[in-house]
Amino acid sequence: MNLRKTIELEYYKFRHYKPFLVILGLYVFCFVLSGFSIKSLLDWFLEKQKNDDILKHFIETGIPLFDFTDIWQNLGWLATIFKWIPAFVVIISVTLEYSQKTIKQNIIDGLSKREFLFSKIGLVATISAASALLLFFLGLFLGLLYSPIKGLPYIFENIEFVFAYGVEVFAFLCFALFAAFWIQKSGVTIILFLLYTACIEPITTAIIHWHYKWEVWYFPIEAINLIIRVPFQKYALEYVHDHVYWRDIVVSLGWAGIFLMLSYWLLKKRDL
Amino acid sequence: MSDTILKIEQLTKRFSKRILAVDELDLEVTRGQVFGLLGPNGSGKTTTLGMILGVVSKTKGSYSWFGKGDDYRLRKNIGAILEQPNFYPFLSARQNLMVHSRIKDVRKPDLDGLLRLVGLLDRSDDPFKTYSLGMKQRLAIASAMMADPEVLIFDEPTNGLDPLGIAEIRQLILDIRDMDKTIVIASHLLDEVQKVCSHFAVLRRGKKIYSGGVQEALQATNTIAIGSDNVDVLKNVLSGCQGILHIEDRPDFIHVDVSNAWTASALNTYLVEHKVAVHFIQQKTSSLEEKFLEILRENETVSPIAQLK
Repeated sequence: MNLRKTIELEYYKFRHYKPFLVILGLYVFCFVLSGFSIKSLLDWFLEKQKNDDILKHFIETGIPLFDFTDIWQNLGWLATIFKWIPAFVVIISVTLEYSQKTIKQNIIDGLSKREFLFSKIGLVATISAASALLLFFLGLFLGLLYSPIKGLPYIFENIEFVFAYGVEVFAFLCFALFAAFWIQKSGVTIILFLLYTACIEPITTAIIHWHYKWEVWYFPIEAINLIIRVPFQKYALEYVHDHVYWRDIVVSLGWAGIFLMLSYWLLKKRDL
Repeated sequence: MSDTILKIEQLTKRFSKRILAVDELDLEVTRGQVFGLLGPNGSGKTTTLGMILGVVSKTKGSYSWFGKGDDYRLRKNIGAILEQPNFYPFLSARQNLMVHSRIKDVRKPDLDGLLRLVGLLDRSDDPFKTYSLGMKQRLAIASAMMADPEVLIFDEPTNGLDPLGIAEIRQLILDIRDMDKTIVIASHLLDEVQKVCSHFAVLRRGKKIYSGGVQEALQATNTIAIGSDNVDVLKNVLSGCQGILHIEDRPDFIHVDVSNAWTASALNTYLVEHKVAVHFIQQKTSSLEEKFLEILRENETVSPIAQLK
């Protein structure tokens, strides 16, 4: 097993594939744009609601969205909306190999199925690491621009949310990878993946949680979404989740491992 | 280094209870052979190649490359194309070959040399999806040659090509053979196997029913084809000749079955003595097609028509 080879292989396959470059470019664009526009959006929202009793308080103080120590969680939570975009890239990168039968040719040419899977994991890991880095630089930039406190220890307090974001994207993309290996057709995979992650599991867990009062933190998408919890309640309520819970990280990475092993099992079992 | 390139023993693939694609196949390919795997469509050729190339799991049996087993790394020393050429459509020939070189662990591939070999140099920067089928097939051969493999495998290499394309690919295969490569070709085209192969095996419903050298299969027959401007005189003279077993009037030539004593030249001398001028006389060799049909007939337990009922 040669890790460098598998990553190089993936690089040579897709560095000239325009749809990928466009989608990944859009991802970075949305990411950065949301960071830059959220403050104006919130200000506009508060301006419109200025007669509301609770919100009136914020107009006077302003929401400390980009203040250091808070910024990592705020931005990280905001960015989780965009994790579907790289998921599509991962899905297409796998389903394309099936539709063009290049996966078959890769194996014939002397790649093992394990190496093939690792080349895709390399893609997932690279996107996740790049996403975390992007979050880091965007946070650094916006924080230095807007935060009233700028001391070095403050900047790096709560930096765990950057790593948490990387883990969240990684686990999510592993799920996308598994879906692609399982279903193999790009259109069907994308639709089912969207349906499951955005509808089926959230609704199911909501019913189970509210109706039967069962815990749902062990569901894959639930766990992944819990890694960076909604930060904004802390400005209005006393209800605070201002750190990353190990349980969510462990459960998410556990699911990621399960998805990767299932992918390998499918790949091993099926003829190409 | 062993002279056995590929050894297949009792290889079996059962897709379902009803479908037995390959049935206890034994096969051996030695260095320097151009080995034709012959059989009608659906006889298990591609499934066999799929198994020995690691993309179809085997039900039973074993295969061994270069006497070293079935490890996937051994496939780096094999250049193979199954069914149709599979490449990344958005990448150019050059970029596709780069991807390929990563898999084969070739650090500095000689892309120009490969592209020149198959005559794609001037189109090498266009995307693969713009290529004609013949060009795609040629790129596939270039990529198969990438790591300077010991053995090449072609599955129906001329399928779907026009006559010119077919001629080009066949010439390319002959050129590659002259580079001291071992070649395995699966084909249902007898003519193709006859033209390029040194050895062949015939598959039928997943079973091997014949294997041997092409030359031995194409032995001389006791049929002599004769052409003359004056057919009636010719037939007259021939019918008076001893040792002529049967005369058949064919549209092109007269075919005569002779006893072992006669050869084409002896018969020619006889005809000249009897003042018959011929413009064509040749001892027929059986074509692989005849041999193939004969083999199939011998192995036909149930006639095709009975099967239909």
